[in-house]
Amino acid sequence: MDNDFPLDVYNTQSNRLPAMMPNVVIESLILMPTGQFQTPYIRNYTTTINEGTVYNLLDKLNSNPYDEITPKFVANHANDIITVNPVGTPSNIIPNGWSENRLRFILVVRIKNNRLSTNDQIAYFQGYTDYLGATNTGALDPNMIFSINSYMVFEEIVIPTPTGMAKQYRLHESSNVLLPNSHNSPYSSLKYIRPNDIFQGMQTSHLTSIENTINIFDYRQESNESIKSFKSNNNNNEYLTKLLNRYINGVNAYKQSPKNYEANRRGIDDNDYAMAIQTALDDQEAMPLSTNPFIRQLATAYGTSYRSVTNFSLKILKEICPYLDNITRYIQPTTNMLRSMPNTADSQYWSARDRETVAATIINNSLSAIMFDLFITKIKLSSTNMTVNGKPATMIIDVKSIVEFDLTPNIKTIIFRLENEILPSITFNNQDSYKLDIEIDIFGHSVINIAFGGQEFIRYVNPSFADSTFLPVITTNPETRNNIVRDLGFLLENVSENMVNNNLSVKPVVNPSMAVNVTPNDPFKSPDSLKDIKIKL
Amino acid sequence: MSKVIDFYKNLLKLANFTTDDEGLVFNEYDNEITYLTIGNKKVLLPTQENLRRRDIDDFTVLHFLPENTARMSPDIDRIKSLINDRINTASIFLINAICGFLADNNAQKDITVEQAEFLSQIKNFDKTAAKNIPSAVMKLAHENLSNSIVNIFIKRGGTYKEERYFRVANVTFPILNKLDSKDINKSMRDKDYEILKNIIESIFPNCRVKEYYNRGSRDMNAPTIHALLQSVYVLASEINDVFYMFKDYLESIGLYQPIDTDVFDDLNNLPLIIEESKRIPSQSDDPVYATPAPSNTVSVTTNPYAPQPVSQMPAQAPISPVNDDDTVSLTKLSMVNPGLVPFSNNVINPAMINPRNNPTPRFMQNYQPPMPVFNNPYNAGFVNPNTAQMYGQFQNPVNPNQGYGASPYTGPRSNL
Repeated sequence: MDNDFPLDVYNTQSNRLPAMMPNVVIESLILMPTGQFQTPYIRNYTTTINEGTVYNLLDKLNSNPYDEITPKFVANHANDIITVNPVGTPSNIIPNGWSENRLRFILVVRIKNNRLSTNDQIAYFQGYTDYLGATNTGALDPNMIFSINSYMVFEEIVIPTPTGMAKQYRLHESSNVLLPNSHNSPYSSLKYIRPNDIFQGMQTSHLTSIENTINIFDYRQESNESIKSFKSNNNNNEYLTKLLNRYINGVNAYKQSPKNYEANRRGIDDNDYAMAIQTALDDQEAMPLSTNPFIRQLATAYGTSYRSVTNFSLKILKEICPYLDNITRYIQPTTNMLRSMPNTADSQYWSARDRETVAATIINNSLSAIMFDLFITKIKLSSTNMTVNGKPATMIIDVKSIVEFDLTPNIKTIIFRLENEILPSITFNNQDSYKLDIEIDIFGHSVINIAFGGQEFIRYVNPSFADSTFLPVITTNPETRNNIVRDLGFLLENVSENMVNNNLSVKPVVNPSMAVNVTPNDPFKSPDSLKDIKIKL
Repeated sequence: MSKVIDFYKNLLKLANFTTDDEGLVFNEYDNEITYLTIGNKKVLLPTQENLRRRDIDDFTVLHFLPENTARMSPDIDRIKSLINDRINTASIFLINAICGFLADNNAQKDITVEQAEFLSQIKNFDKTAAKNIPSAVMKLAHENLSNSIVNIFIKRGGTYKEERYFRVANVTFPILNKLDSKDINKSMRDKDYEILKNIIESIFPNCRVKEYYNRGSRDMNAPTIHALLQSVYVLASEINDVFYMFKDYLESIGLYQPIDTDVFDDLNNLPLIIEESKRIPSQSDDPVYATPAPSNTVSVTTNPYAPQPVSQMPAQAPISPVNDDDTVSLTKLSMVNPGLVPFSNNVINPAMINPRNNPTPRFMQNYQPPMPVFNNPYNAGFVNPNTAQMYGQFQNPVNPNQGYGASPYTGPRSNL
């Protein structure tokens, strides 16, 4: 066991009462051994901002009749602007390295809600252990460390229909768990570039120009505890969409609020801009992990001052759940399973900087994020555009889900989003031919066979069960974070300033006799543009 | 991918670098190979085979198209300074060659009418000038090569002929100021300053004309390279005209090395090259760029098997091209070791020896500047507003006074 793994910060106390919480019920714990993997590479998002990409995006946005921008709407341009960096960094975060056989686990927790007229929440925590601490008979090492990699929380609703009672599921949240990166953490070299971090970086640069100094320390960049990153951040289309939506709508909403009349009159300074960007932040993502009752309960069981704990051992879990042995299921691999388990020799290494590696990374990131949204845990498909009419054709071979309802609309959605959202940016709007053969298990590993231009398949194997260690919103280079903040800030400010408001949606009618601060194009430019409007009092 | 790789190869040939079969970029002089490095790593071309190498992290991959104009790219900076140095070394070589030709009575036996007409602009030449001028020019080259004769500065959001462009290549002649103020070398006479001025004005006839060599670019994806290459096209054609004029003489001494011009053929294909270059993942976000190389290691390192402490060499090396018998020996000039020359960033052989490059010049004697082509949007110097409207250059609701390339993100604009 690796002693560097930062669990010694949690002082486990023995001889205490079990920290059971009646509302948090652990339903099952499923464990399964994993194979060995090529070292995955951290490929953070990288930007290409030039006149061409900005103009193209602006033209596209100006043709949008709605306020809301969808990922498919920017899909043709997202890859030009934001893509994963082909220059990767090997991910060394996981304990004992990637050639270690270990266990992966799925922990199903039911969070009972005592409030009336609401339903229980079901949480799937998924992660890995530090080594293969299980015997052939299924006995588990109580000191083996479990690390939560990601989780999804959804709600089960039973509604009456004419044909009887039917179940519906509503996804509450699906997130990756990012490691603490404060200066005293062993992961202090990690920098995060979630959309919130981009906005906060823009705020910091505004505040820096107020103070005329570079010595502002943004404490929000460092976290003492684990934080979360939404799964949708891993899809570069959704990432760009989220940035645009939140900046354009949020900042415009702030500008147009009556509170800011005074600011509009005296002129907008950097402080106003920083406050305006504050409205663009995603507060749900910024919520600490401890809002989840299970994670908070883990911290209570540890008795630490940390509010959220994402690493635990079976010993601690038993304090929450004394009947843990009855619900634990260790899946002993059969011969067939062992044969199909990945090893380092049967797949391409991730260090290459070529197009196939980048495309495999994008497909894996984006498709897994979409699968989380659609309750699909495992999918096997093949897709190609080497067809008669050149259109992409996708064949679903197998789909598995954690919920029990008709998955047909979800499968149609995933085919549509694959062909219209992910693949256009990789094939440059269907200009290049491709072949794909994918098998993704979001709780296990994913296999991506990819070929461009009729070449041979290249097989990439990705440990999805530990994808928090190589997300595209992680970077190990602090300069990269500054670059992407500067580039995206440049993009967002230019796009929002130059967008033409020809939307069909309902806008406040500007009556010149009543107009105080609302001008048709950009109300925030009012000190100059107000001169054009004659106010009759 | 071949178009992109060929473009990079031609661009490097313009800067007098060649590539081997593997894709490594190097400069060969006197049977000694000098590799181009960025961030202490050798530079590789982005071929498919190279991108899949296991040891790819030990190299810097040269791939900057399409440009990221929101921040300045270090590899474009390097290419720009390499090309700028190549223009300067070619000019210095020509100045020395003209001095040698004027001092060499045997060479002047077969003088042509054009040569006579060209040389008639240089008045009062004597043997002392043949000594003084090459040493003065070499002294300038030692001090700051990229700022010696010609300097190309890429300005973002500049104006050219009273129009705004994303990028403007601004060409200046720093030597003219030094000639006017006469502060190059103490051994130079007033007469020598006049002669050197005549030589430069005969090589670059329009060097006093404002904005003559400047060019602007409204290319959406590669404005820096596009503006740079347009300016270099004009400069290189004037230099190559002189090379072609003295071809027989230079070939007789084995030093006919005009500037390679293959890359200018690609200039018209730039949109296609950009489209192809998107198929290669952009390598310009390499962490080697984030940490600048230590100052004691020169960016172009020599052959690792024969390392040379370039920056510690004395500035005044035995580089005087003048023989004792008062005849200028260009052969000796060509034998200047690049390791002895502590140039700005880039060690360039002053004589620009590369025996592999000996193309026939495509710039004929009666060269004329390119005529405006109105329906080519990439001909940025001559944009017809009607056709530009067709290509959508003015349709976007952008304030032309603050184009996208005007400034990097530095917070809100002050006039808001």
